[in-house]
Amino acid sequence: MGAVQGRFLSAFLEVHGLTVRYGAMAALDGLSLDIRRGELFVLLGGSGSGKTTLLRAIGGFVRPESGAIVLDGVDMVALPPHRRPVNTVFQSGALFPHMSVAANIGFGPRQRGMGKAAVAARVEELLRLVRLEGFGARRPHQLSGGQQQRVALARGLAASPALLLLDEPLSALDRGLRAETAAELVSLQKQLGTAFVLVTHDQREALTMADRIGVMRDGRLAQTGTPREIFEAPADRFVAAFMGVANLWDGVVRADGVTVDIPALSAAIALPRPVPPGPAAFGVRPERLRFGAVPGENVLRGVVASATYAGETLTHRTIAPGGGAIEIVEPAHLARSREGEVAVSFPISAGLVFPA
Amino acid sequence: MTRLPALGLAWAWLVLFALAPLAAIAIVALSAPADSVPPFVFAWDLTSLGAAATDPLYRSALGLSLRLAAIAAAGCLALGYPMALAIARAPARWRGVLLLAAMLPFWTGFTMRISAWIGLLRDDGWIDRAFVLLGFAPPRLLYTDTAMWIGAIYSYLPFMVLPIYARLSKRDPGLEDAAADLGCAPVWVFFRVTLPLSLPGVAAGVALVFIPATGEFVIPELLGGPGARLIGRVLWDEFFNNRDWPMAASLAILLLPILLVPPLCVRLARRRP
Repeated sequence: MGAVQGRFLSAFLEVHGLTVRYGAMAALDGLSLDIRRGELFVLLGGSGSGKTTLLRAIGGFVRPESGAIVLDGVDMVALPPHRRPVNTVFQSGALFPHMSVAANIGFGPRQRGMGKAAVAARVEELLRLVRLEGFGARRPHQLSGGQQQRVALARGLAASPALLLLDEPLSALDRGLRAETAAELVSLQKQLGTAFVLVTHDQREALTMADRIGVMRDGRLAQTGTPREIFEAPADRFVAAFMGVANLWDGVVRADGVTVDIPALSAAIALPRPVPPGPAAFGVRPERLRFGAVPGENVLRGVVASATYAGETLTHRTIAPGGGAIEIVEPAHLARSREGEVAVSFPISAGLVFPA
Repeated sequence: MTRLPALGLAWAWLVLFALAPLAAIAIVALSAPADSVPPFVFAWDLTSLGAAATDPLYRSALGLSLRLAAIAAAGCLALGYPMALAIARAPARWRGVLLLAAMLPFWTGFTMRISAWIGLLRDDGWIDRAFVLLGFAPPRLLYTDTAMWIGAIYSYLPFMVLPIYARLSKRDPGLEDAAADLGCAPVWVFFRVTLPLSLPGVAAGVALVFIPATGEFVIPELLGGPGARLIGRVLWDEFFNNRDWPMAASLAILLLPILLVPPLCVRLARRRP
């Protein structure tokens, strides 16, 4: 059992020191990453962070300047795309418009030399898997966006790849369909046990779908971890901001190591853990703040500048004496609009500190 | 409402420059030749049409013309498709230049360029001399069918390159990536994705070369041999030498349905699901 566990947890895809340059700009800057067997790994990052470049490098469409991409012990860097045992679900779907849905799904297996009858059986199996039985004879343009995306997924899975790469597979879908398709994608991935590497810029999508998340920034991984680790313990100021920590201020940690002075708030804040003295960034999620001065918690003061109603939530923006902005998000059904001078509190444990 | 004037203009254009001349030709075809000015009298006379359809001289002329058109279309396709593909795959900043380079020769006069070909092809011309220099017998091409075909392929090449390029330049490179991703080697990516998706451009190019090449008159006259009695030549003779306008008009009318066959086939093939 220990051996099995070890094999399961060992890296299945290893990316070492991968550098990709477009002209003078490094799209990937010495990036290293391990993907485990059977996991759904989400690459999360803004535009230009290099996440799509990394996916294309694994697929073989981008030639790295240096580094290795090792899949199951074999370095794939020198292999052209058609020789790599990975398949991609492209952002646009990239379905072949001149072929039927069945021919699209059967394309991979046919290329890999599967016989006609076996291909037909495989196509039927996949149509069932993505709940599109009976759609085989149609052309892609006769399907809805969600159906097209499911065909693209089926096509990617048809040749039983060792690893499936998905480039923003849900971005073309509208909101309601997106959540539903995300759930289907996760259950399908668990059912098949194929490792998925999925790229997205949507933190909610990443949190709900991933076994592990890699947050990308400037061609590097800023942090890798489970959704809970990334959300609750962001590694740095950038990851914190990306994961929705809207309140981030610069401060200086006192010699005691557990108090930070924040000029923008004209306040001294107690820290949840001791850190080295000196400059640091301090953050707190807007939904951890509430109105009123609660004894035993950090208390901030400010003047309400605006209140924004967004259906589920009510967001207040207050300006602290030092000029810093404080954002407070409350469930709308429990909140009321505030104005004038207010006090807001948050538990000491809710604070996030990032020594510079 | 605003579309009405534009639509009217299109119809006026069609009636004035396509339907009216066609009707005039049909009327002349149905007339009898006469010693008058103009040299025909209208008579519901089917003699000319019948002769045009059955006379072996005309049928051989038609056969030679269709052969020239087919060879021109095939030659232009063989040369033009790789050219169009190379231009479409070139870096974006080079595409305009390359396209211009492909089109530039056609900005000089047509007759000039054909005359230049006479210089290249004639006995002891550059081509003959190049062959001799390389130790081969001079091919002596001028006034042969080969010279005529070379001239036709050369002249009609842009009409093949442009529609294919237009189609290829709009292709989605993501589809080629997808095919490679699914295990397709580059050659097969071309045959299974790039080529099938560019077929409408190929069809347009073939039609644009084949149709005018069928009626080609100048190239066979200037480059072809004495036996090159193509339909264009025959038409000319009937019209200007024999002054048999009804016969010339009949030949022109008969050409029409033949030229309509390939585009109709393409349309039918495309409509099939």
